[in-house]
Amino acid sequence: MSIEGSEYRGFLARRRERIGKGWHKFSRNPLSIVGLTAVLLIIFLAVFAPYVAPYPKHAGKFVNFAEASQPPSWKYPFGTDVVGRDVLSRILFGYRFSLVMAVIVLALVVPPGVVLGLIAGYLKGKWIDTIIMRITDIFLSIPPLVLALAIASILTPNLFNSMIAVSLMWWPWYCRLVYGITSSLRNEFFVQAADVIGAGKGHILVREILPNCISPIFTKMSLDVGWVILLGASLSFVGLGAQPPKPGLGTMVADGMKYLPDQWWTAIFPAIAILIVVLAFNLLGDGLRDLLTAEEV
Amino acid sequence: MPFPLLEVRDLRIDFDMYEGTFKVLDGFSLVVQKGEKVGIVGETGCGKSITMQAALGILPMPPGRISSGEIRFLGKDLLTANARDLKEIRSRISLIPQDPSASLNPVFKVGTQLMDVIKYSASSRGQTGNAKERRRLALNALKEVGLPDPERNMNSYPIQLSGGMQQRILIAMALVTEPELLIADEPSTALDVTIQDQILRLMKEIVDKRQLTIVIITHNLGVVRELTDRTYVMYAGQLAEVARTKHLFSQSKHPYTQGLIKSVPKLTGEGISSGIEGMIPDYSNPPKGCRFRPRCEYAMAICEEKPPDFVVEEEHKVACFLYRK
Amino acid sequence: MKDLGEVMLVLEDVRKYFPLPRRIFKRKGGYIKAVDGVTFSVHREDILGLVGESGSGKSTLGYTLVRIYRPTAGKISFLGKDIGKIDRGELKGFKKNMQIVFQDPGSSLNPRRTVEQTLELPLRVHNIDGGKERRRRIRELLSVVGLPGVYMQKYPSALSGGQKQRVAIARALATEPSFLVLDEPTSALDVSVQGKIISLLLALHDEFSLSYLFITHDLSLMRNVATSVAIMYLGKICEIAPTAEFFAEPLHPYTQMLLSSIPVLTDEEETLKPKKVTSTGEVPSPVNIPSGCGFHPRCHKRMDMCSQIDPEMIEMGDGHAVRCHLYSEAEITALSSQGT
Repeated sequence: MSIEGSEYRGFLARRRERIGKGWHKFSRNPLSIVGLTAVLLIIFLAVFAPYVAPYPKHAGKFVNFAEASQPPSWKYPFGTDVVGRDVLSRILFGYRFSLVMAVIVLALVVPPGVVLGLIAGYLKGKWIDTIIMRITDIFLSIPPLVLALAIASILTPNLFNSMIAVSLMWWPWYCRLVYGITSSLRNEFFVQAADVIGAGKGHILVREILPNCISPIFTKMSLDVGWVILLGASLSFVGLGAQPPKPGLGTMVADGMKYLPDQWWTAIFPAIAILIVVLAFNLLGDGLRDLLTAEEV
Repeated sequence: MPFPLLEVRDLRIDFDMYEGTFKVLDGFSLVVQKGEKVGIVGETGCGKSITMQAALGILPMPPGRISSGEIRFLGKDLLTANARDLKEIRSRISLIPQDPSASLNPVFKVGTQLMDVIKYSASSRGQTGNAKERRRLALNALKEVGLPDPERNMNSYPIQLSGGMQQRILIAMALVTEPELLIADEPSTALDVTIQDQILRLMKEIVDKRQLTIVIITHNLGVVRELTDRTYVMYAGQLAEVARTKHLFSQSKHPYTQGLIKSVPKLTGEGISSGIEGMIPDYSNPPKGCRFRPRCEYAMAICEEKPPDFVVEEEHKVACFLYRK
Repeated sequence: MKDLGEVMLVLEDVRKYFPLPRRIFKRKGGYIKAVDGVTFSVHREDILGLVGESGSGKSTLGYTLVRIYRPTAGKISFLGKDIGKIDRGELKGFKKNMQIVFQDPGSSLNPRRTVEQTLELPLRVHNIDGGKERRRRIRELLSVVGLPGVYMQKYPSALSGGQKQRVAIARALATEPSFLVLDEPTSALDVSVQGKIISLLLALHDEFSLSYLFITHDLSLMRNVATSVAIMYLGKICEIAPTAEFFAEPLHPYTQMLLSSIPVLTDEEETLKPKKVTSTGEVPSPVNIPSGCGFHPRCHKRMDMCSQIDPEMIEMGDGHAVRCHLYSEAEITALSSQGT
């Protein structure tokens, strides 16, 4: 039996043990399970929206004035809106948009934020730190919606541009997060040791410090999905996001607002949908944070 | 026969964790008479801190759990006492916690913290006081622990003070409640040697002057030699040996105690001992009987049973079958 | 006198000052004089014990040697080369030859790296071996420090303090250095484990002809381990001597205070301690160094000149030097002409 073989088996066994231990910690809080379940459900619904939604065509250009403004019924569980589209189906497709937006925004935002945070944190005190962090501060000091509005008003209002607006808003948070961790870790002995051994700065940042940032980054990302969706919905609400007839959740709420309180279902259900997705990701994020910060003990 | 001030009888404490149940304390007993100066010595994980946490009611439960045993203060069972009695008893015991830099709240001034302690202890004794009186008591306490400029210290934040001063403040906070029993947890471990010397002398002075009963928990054998009359040596949640401190150093009997004393480098320059073979046991699956058995060069078959405490001399007991009659 | 091996390390008047942040409304900038003029040399196979309390600058000096800090002034020569003047290329070679073991095993290993990855780092940085050879070498390193190969896949959180420290020692040895700076390598460990680690360090010292700078606060330990002992106080060396000489005749008042404060375990040791010098006052911080001799506020043998003039190191013969006015020529002649 080769050494590699038995070691690999040991490695798998340890992996399993770590996952088991992690699950045990995570599942101690029932709310985390709720969050996880809800998130998985939402992802499933979003991915398979065309197959799950009862009326997939209602997500696009579709009108049916005969059945417009119907209250919730067996046929249309969340009712229909003013042009006869099934609210439930539109919500499911709305989730699609929201999740896509969140994923793209985070993909755009996390890498630069992390890189800048690492550099600024490790070179703390030098001019490059000052430059990076002051730029970060500038972006952070502008109220989110104002900045997004300003950007969106320059560019044509559509989903893509609202994502850009949100991304420009969001990257500083990751920069700050990683900056904080990096600047405190750089004085830890294991980082000094790597330096004494002769490792270059690049190695230290990527191989020593970054792995210690992964947990907080992931926790923040899962919490952020909810908030990015909310910001996107806010933008749609003021008309800067997904344009009709696309089913953005915020747009749906905006449209539905006009018909409150009579046709309450056209606004309330999309609003609840937003609530649920934000809450679900928050609970999941909290659970992840409890799991990951306690891990080292 | 008066009740001992503090008595622990055959205490067993488990910790329920994901990996299993850790049997951290395996039947430990302790007696402290009024006026005694007792030390509990042991290395990391031996259970000395946990015993005191259980006595003070600050053991985190869960995951901790007292599976059996008794803890009595002047005869009263602390584990079954009701909340009111417990509060009253606790007001008569004071703790000097470990590591001053972690035990003082960094965002409050020293004076505030000290006066808070006075306020809460007074209220648990059913007294009220006024702020002026509390301030006076606080200043006196700081003077008593040898701080040269109490007024200034009252207005300082802990971070502005040295380690030695912080330790003195912790002592002051413990004394200001007029306790009968003082428990000191690693009172000098975080301090420099010359400061340690000052603090130990201070504690000796105060304990003698106020005729306090004191229990000192530490891993530092030199500290118990300076401060205590009688010392318990613990290993892996069990008692190894208890004796008058002088005898413990001159005639230690338990192989662990002997190994421990040998491991401390001596000024006489005998060279470095290679410590004690082996490692502390896995508490989730501890050795049956004497937990030191796997590391002991004198281990015998009978050591698979838990050794009782054999009396070798007056006040000198050893939990080791080598001393079986 | 024992034949001293080749000279490994020479420090000449090394200083490390940290600038205090300048305040807008306060004129003075000021410095923290962590290391304030240190001179000594270490020969091959020496174990120099550098002893001091907090604020003495001993750790800062250790870090300056391995270039975590750059010296503010003074010259450090290692194996004949002035480290302050070497270029980047030579620097890497230097780093191979002088390594450090840190005080706190808990934070000297990256919690996110397995033992194998931690030990691989020095090998990778200096391009030592590769692939299978490297793994074999890591196993070898682990066995040298007494750990079985199965520990390679473990994370630091699964190791005890003593085991972590062994890994840290293995890492320091990976590049086959000739000089190790040991910064309180056993202070964070239990007493029964300390002995094992110290024995390991001594065995490695013998086997690989290593030289150590052993930074510690534990004089009893140095009595049994060091070949020479140096005491630091507020950035300066107060006294330095070969071990036997040092403990037989401690000259500096601070040394006497330190030795008499050690809590010992046996009566025999008590008799070896100098007459009790009651320690007074706080350990000062290098932000506020007293004028003249830094120790004078706490010194039981203080004279008038001590608050004004900082004493120089005075050679007392047999490798024993002390920085104290009590032993200056002028003082000795003054005393001898006075009394008898």
